[in-house]
Amino acid sequence: MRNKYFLITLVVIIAGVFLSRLFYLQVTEDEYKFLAASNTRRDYVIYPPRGYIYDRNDSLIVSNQPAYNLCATYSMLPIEKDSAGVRRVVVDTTALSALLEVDREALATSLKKFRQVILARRHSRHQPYAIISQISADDYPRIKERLYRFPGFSLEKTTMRRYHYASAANVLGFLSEVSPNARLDEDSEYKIGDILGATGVEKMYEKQLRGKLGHSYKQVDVRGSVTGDYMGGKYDTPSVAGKDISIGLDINLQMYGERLMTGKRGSIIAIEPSTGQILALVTAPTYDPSLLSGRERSKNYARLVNDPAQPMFDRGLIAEYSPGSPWKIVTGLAGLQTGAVSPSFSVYCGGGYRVGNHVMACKGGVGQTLDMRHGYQYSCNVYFATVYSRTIEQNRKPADGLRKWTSVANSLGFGKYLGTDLSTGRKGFIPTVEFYDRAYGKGRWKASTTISNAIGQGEITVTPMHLANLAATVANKGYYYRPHIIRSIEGEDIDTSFTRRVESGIEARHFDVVADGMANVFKAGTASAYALPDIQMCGKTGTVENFRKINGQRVKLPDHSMFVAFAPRENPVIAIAVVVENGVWGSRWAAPIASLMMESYIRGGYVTRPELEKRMLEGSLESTYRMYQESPKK
Amino acid sequence: MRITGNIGGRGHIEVCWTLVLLYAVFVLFGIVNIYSATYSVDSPQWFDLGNYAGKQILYAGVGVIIITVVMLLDVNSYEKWAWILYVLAMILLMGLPIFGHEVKGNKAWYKLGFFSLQPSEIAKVATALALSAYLARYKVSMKKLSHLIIAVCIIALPMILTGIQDTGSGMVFLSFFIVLYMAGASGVYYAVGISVALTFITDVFIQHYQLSHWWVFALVGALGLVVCVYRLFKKKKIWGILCYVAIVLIMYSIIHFYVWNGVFKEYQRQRILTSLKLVEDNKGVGFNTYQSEIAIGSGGLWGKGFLDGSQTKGNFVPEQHTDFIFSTLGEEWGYVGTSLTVILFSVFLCMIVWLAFRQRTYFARYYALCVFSVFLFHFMINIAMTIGLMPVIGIPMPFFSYGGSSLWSFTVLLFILITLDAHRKDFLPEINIGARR
Repeated sequence: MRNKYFLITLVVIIAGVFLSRLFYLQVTEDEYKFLAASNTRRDYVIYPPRGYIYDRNDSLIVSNQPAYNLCATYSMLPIEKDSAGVRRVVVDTTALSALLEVDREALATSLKKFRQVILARRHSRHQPYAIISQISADDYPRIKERLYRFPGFSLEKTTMRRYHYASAANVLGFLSEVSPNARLDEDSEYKIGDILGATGVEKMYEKQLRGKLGHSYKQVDVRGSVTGDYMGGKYDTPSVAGKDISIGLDINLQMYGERLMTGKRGSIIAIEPSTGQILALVTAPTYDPSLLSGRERSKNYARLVNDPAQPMFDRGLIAEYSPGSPWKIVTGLAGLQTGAVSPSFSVYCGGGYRVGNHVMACKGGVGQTLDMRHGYQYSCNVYFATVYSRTIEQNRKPADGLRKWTSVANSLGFGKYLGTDLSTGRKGFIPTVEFYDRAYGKGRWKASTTISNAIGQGEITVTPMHLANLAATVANKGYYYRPHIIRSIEGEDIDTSFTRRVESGIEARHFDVVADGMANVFKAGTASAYALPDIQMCGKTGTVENFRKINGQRVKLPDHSMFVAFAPRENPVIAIAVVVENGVWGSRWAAPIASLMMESYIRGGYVTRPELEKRMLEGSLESTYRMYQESPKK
Repeated sequence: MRITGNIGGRGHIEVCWTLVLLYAVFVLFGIVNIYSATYSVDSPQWFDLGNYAGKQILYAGVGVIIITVVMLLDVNSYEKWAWILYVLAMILLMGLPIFGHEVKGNKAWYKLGFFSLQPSEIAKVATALALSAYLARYKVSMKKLSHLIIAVCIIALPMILTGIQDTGSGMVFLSFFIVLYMAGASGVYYAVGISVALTFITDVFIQHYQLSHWWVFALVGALGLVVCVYRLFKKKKIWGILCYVAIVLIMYSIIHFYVWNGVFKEYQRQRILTSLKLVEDNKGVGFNTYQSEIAIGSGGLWGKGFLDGSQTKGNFVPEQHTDFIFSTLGEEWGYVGTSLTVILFSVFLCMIVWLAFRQRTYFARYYALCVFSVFLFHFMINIAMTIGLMPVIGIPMPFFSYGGSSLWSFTVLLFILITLDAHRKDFLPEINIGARR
């Protein structure tokens, strides 16, 4: 017989191990308390109402309206065994799709996605999951009445956006749902199916508009059934409504711009020079924002995306064009600022500027000796080619001249992002010394090689937003505010980068010369037909050559019609850029549209030229666009 | 704390009231925890037979009757009837595959109308009695290989028969090997067994990290070499060590090439991997242990209080009123509750050891050791699995877990010992109490 102390030692060792392990689990380690809490606590999110959007005159543009999500709760769906004995969820998709008035295929796809989400454990089996979202309140009673036939399905209240104007879709943007495939951080405030701003103001001010989610904690058991409030609701937090925001847009001006642009493609951007607020951001063609809200939104979205006219393509922000004649503003400023020319510098225009064997034709001040002010008035190519040439070659080395020229363009915001609060944008392109060195070889190019830069053709590209900002800078005589859409946020300051001046570094007196020239354009120049006796406007027309590959061939399209302007001359309140694609002359479409826009804005919503207005409203370029459309592939 | 008197009309008796008291404390505390683990707002009555707690109270009541019967029976009858009981239990076990009632895929029960019978519980008591009776025989010695083999067979038969139906219950019979060791079986067998177990665990690691199995050979070989060199240096024989190394390596080879993939089922492999913390599977095989750890861990020092365990109320721990009752205790009574329980149970076990060594007959002493071994095994395995130290082996915690059959078998097991102890002075001393063998 062996010793009893062996057994007692055995007991003591085991007890010792248990006591220390239990000490670790229960006293030392805190993680288990946290895990226990997350085990038994279910967080119910309370969605606050999304903030409203007002325009600069405090007109309500976007608010909310009640809607319903058709939800399915997986654990409550009827399950049957099929012939192979596999348990399957059975849903009569034909009947359900008929009730909901949706496509059966679409419904089946949603249900399939739902099943994947459940199987991937990305959503609780015991919680409703939205299958068809944003069913309007009008459809609610009808669907609700019949829904008892579909166990496991329910209608959950939600809200959707209500648009008070069928306008500014590109500015406001739309909302979308967090996709089931989205990669969400562990601590992300969003979960699958949540609504968030996808583009435009909705995206850029998502944080403010969304508000703070509320939390209601419930005690649950292992099956996820609620057994009561967690800790008597001690940790519940109320939701905080989204902040209302006000944007700088003048919704009436915006709508007027959209009307003027019907039948045309292009954009209008109007900026308030004294603040940098965007007054109107029109892209044409456009669409009704309510198309992307409600249950038809995915169908509408697909249609819009596939439309050859590209209504979802914001031409004001991401279409890049050669700037054409408005670029002469930059050429002139560069000449003056670098000291290459003085305002009184005069050139005789013989109708063409010769570069080697090539002659750059001029249709402006042919047969006259022009100074800079008159150069603008007649949009003389010869004059500005000469100015450009002097600017580039003033130091004998073209590279030094071009470097100065590039920096002037950059200081005016060209060739870079403007830092707006719009959800999209383009840098455009300003050629640099390095660019030409690469293209032609170092030292193997000079002013004449790059003479197209003088008149905004060639390699330069800009967006209409850049041009509008140029107009604002000229209006301000040398500085601009970053163009922005936001005007104010409830109880919060807007980003300070929008309230700080951006100085171009170009002397104010040079802008006076440019402004004089632009005023002359309305007095006796290319836009004289659109002048008003009581509002002194300043502008610059542009007629921009452009090419496109159609069916594999490079085709020269009708010129783009462009106009850059501000008004009134003293204390300007609006700076504007208008692009009408393939509108031929700047003075044919862009100038009158800009003139009407400025008049309407300054007069507070009416114009004094009904015939001109009528001509613009009714004018259509659809036949031109159709002519140059890519022929359908066989 | 003991009273003397005449019960059953036979001589002088002396009941060990400490054990009885501990037994009562465990059973009552068990009922409290079962009540909490299965608490429902709809029927909060304690004495409702529709509730688990109510049933357990009934079982405990029946237990009192069983105790009375056990204590009134002739104290000599246990040794006399041990073999008959053993044979009866084996027949019942063998009949299970044919007549058994299937519950969750296991045929471990007989259903007799309103009453369920679990033969493995009877076998536990019967084997304890039969083994003790055999070991107590005159001239039976564990030093003799033939005797050892017979003793092993007595244990192995119910172990295999039970293990076919329910691995966990079968493993309980392993505990009797402690008794054989105490009876003098050579430590070499145990050394080999423990070594094989250790190499098995090493092998699990090696397979998991996809290392070559030659590492184990190298390791064991190197260790053997060191010991051999040492013994040669001391001018001692080394053939024993060589045999030992060879046996371990052969056993290891069998395990490595056959047992792991051939014998174990996938869920068992996963359980072993999760308990060794090699695989984290908190939603699958590891779910029970993980939830149990959370429940116990969240109890903290003082516990959340009776009926206030959120994990318990939410039914997060599966089988919480039976095998995982310790997690309720841990959540609601905290470290104070669990440590007190562990300490009291250890005291209980040590008391049994103490009782064993004051018996005058071999039968009583071996029986006491059997009782000790069974309780130790249940105590060790059950708590270890609830706190994540061992793979999940579904065996109940003695006296605490819900269930009539297990409560009664533990009661019978304990009270036969208490009865034998109470009557110990009726027997002529077979053992010289002061002497050590």
